[in-house]
Amino acid sequence: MDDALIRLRHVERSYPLGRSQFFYVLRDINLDIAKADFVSIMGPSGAGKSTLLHLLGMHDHGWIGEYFLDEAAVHHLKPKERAALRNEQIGFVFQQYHLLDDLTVYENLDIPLSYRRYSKSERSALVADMLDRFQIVGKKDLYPRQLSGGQQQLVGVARAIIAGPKLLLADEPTGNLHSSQGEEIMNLFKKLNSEGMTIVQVTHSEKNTTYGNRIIQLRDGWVVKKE
Amino acid sequence: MLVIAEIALALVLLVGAGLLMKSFARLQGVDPGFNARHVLMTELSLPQTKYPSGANPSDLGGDSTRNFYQEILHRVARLPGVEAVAWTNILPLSGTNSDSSFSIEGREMSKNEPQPDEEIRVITPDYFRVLQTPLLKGRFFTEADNADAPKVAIVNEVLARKYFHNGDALGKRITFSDPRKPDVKWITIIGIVANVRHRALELEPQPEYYLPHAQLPMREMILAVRSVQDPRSLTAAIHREIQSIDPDQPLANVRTFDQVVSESVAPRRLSVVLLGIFAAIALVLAAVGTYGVISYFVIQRTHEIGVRMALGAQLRDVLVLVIGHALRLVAIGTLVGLILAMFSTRALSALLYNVGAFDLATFATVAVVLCAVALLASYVPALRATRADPMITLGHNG
Repeated sequence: MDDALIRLRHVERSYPLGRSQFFYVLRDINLDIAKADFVSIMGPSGAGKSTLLHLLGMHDHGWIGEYFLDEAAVHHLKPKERAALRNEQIGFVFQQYHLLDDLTVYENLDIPLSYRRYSKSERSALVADMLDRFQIVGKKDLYPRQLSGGQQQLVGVARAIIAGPKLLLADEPTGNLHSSQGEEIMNLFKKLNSEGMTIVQVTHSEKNTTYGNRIIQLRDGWVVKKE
Repeated sequence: MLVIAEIALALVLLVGAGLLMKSFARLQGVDPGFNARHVLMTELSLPQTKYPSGANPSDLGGDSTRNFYQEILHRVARLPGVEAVAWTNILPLSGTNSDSSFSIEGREMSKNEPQPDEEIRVITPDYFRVLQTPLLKGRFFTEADNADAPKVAIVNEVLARKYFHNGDALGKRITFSDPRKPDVKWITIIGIVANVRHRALELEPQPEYYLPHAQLPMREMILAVRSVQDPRSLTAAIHREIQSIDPDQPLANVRTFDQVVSESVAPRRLSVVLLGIFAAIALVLAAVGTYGVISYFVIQRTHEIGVRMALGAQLRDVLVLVIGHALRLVAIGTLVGLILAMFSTRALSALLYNVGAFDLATFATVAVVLCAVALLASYVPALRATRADPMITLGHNG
């Protein structure tokens, strides 16, 4: 696949159980994800969905195999180089939002930028732009506890894409939301995907998969079905 | 709050200890006017029954006393390893003192003016060679300055400058008797020596004058022996020589001059050691406290650190976050400590020598050391924070 953003070849992740014994969480994963794909990873609990997502997000380094992200051979990169690549290419949306409670909406949006090479004025402009785009300008000085779950996840998505990643990874993004709030977030994902962003979401929701164009089924660490 | 208090307290104690240490070091560097190394001291006290006073009532010892001490000088001087030997009635820094008033020839004192009264020592000719106190003008006493010779005295520089124009005391005469009487006995100043810090190392030298033992014999004297080797090795030989002249004479208070000097600063040393121990304990407590508080901070914020790492924070950013927090606590503690120290060191002023209570270098050094230790203590939990696993801290759903 020439336009692949992600290529996984024979990727495995295991944890040692004892002497020469391992528990495999992911087994022989071979996967291509094209640019502007919207992929849903499904499977029962313990199937390895989140492990695969964190592996793609380069939070996990204990795997073996080959992982290419936009032609960069991740498996050959050192942790620091992986972190730099992650900062450049990947945004994260979490089920529990993971906004920082002591920071305002504005400050939460600024966090990813503060860890990248942006000047202060560039950061202000990007945060202002994102507040405007997500129509949360009026909430910029509020703290997460002052927002509804849907609003918090909206801020979470805004924070994930503020640094302009090519790939958005979402772990159960609507898992903690009321259905109407969930729809709002999924519509937002759909819109971002239509603008060219590649999205990989882990979900248990059949409905959420309808917003995407591909489904990957995992079971006991194996890819059992690719659509 | 606790760690701020610990740091502030540690800083107060460290500044105090630092000032005392600096003061003590400066005191140790003071030139006392003599060289205490390789000198052995021992005291002798001749009983009046066996060594009666002389015919002159001002003499505290007679010919027998004079001869006894003279003979010991000759014998000890011949011992192997002895460089110089002398007697003195008072030893610098030993805690004892003696003074006597005198009149200066040609100087009329008004009724309201107090008579000169300065510190007096009785010595034998080689005393300044034993102490290695420099002669500035004139000469030392010799054996020729005996009971029958004209009376002579040596003064120190302070006395010379205090009583004589341009310190020109050589040849001038003083007397203990009434200068208006016809039979006055004049004592001629034949030498000026460098000043000696007699009372304490931290006290400026006082005016002193020295008289030869041959002209003013005393029964209680201190033998001072300069040796080319460890002076304590001479103890047995000296004891033997004294016993051979008078078997009833015990040696009392045998010690080196270094010990005398060391004992003179013992109270100061004790203050330095005690405050140093307290300061060290406080420093350790501050380090442990900082470590504990920052460890707790890291545990409390593990989730936040994981989120920040997931959002792009590098190891350096996490270190900055954690150590930055520690730095804020340390900075507040240091500031509070510096303010408290500025008040507390006033109480130490009386114990300081040649160091100000607000000595900037000490304050700065202590603050830097304390900050470094506290930051080092926070580095371990900070390093632990960088190992936060985003997969765990952000929740892992399988």
